[in-house]
Amino acid sequence: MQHKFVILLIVVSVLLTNGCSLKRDLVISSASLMVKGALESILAEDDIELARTGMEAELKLLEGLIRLDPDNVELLTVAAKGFAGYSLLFLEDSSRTRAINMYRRAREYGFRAVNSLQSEVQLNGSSGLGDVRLTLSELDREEVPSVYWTAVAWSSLINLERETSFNVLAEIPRVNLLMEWVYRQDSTFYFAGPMWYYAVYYSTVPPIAGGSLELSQQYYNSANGYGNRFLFGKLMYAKSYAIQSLDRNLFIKLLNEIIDHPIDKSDSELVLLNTVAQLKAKALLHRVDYYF
Amino acid sequence: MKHKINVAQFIALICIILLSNSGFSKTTIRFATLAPANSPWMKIMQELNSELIEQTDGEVSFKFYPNMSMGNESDVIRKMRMRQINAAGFTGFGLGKIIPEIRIFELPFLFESIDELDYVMDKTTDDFRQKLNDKGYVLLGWADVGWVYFFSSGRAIAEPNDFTGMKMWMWEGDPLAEAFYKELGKSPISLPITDVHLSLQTGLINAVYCSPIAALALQWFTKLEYVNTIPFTYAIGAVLVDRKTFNKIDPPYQEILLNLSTKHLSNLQLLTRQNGEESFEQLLKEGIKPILSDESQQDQFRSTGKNVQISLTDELCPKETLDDIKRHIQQFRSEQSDNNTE
Repeated sequence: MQHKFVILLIVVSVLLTNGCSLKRDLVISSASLMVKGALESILAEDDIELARTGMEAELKLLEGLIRLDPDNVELLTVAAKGFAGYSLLFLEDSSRTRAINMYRRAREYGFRAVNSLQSEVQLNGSSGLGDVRLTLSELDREEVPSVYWTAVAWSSLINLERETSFNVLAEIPRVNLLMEWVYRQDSTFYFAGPMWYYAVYYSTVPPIAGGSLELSQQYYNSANGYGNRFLFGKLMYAKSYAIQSLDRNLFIKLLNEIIDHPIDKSDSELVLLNTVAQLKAKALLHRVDYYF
Repeated sequence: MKHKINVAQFIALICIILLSNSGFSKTTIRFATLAPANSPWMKIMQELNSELIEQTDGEVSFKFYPNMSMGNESDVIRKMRMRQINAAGFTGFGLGKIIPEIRIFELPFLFESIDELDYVMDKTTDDFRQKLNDKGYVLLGWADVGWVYFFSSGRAIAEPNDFTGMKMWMWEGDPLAEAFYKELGKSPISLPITDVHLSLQTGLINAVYCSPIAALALQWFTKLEYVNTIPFTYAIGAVLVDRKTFNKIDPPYQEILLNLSTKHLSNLQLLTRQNGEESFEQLLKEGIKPILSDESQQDQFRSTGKNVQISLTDELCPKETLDDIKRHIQQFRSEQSDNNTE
């Protein structure tokens, strides 16, 4: 994998230094296709170790390509999705500090993607609500992937950082603005990702801060209707709704549903995600007495 | 065939019987709190729990129910009486439901600094520990909420008259807040704390009182525009464990629990105070405008506070207790004055 990465970068660099802009675009476009293809094949992998090492190399390759084409929205969006996914799949439970760093990196790529799409404001981690609104007013439905993965990376970052800081909670309304926008554009995007977000959000936030188990359940029912193959959504719902509602039986039921769900190899985008979700569900099931 | 037992076996048998009747078994303390899961508060409680498990060889541990999953503080008190819950973190509101006079610490404009409060707390904690014990609770430690400010939207509150026309929230069933508004001659909107978020969104209320951490953590700040920079009270909090549960714990483990609680809840106090200041700054960064009352406006607030202290004497706190507290405050101020003179 390391080899492939070095060779590809050398080839791309040589071609770029010697070529015209048309050739440059062609080279980057071909390399991008290769990386995207590789990442897609990783998502279709059920061998977790193989997927992990492959993903690490491909993400670095992707970063190399972004250096060569820094405003490529498609590459930036794939990077936001890739780093957020890598952190969720492989780091959150084992290395919190690295998980935070990778989510932060994913969010930065997301900001860059969104900022490449409009010129009104430069979105960043300390942008106010007004700037977020202004940014979104400049975007249309085609930009859903960039906004969605930025919101996913940002909310995951807040979720980890809130353990050590209250101030990070001030960022929640900004993420909600992004996700509300995605929801309005396409609530079924990425296996009904925006619906899953709200199903988890409303049961993670305490009722005193606007949380609502009723709303959480409503979003879950909608999300499950569209994306019940997306086992990670169900896993996060079990961790939030079932625990907050102190429903031990539901917790066990949902986790067993995840574990018993057959992995469909033809559902290529979900093989790795669902395999990891099943492992995490088994680990959670062992900790049932800790939660209830 | 008859079984015969020798002396050694007999002694061993007696020991087993005595041990099995000692009444100390593995204890899981079910702990409820309003604090959000994955918050700095819960991180410290988790650290306490890890050390507790380690030092008691797993004989005593906590099981946490954060995020208000066990209901509001009145629900939690009821559940503690029914032994569904064994311990909880309470704000002054909940503590006042157990011993009303504990709210004395939260009388408006009573304390001028944290040092002053700490001095008085230090002098009076044993008394309150005993009073809580008499009610069936063991105090594991104080866990303050922090300085409390007035926040509003639509209009700033710079002096007591500015409350006129404001849709001011009052925590339902809070005698202290009730007395404060009564003294101001205003009619607040009484709501449970769980309804505040939605009520700010719908415009049912447009002014609240809370700590900066609460304004952030509860997401109320998104609907607020102004904060008066004078804290009008300091909100206390404490972690209590039901006495019957505590007594079931083997005495050496009780000591471990008390020592670890003192250590970790002191850290929690420090963290809350530090975070309180940071959160205030963050709120200003979020666009909440600070309102500075001039001297005369501050005096109006203080005068209202003093009248509340008088009106609540006997109703909320016995006069002797308040006099005692005020004596300690005077003592602290004169010590400070002496130190400054030297």
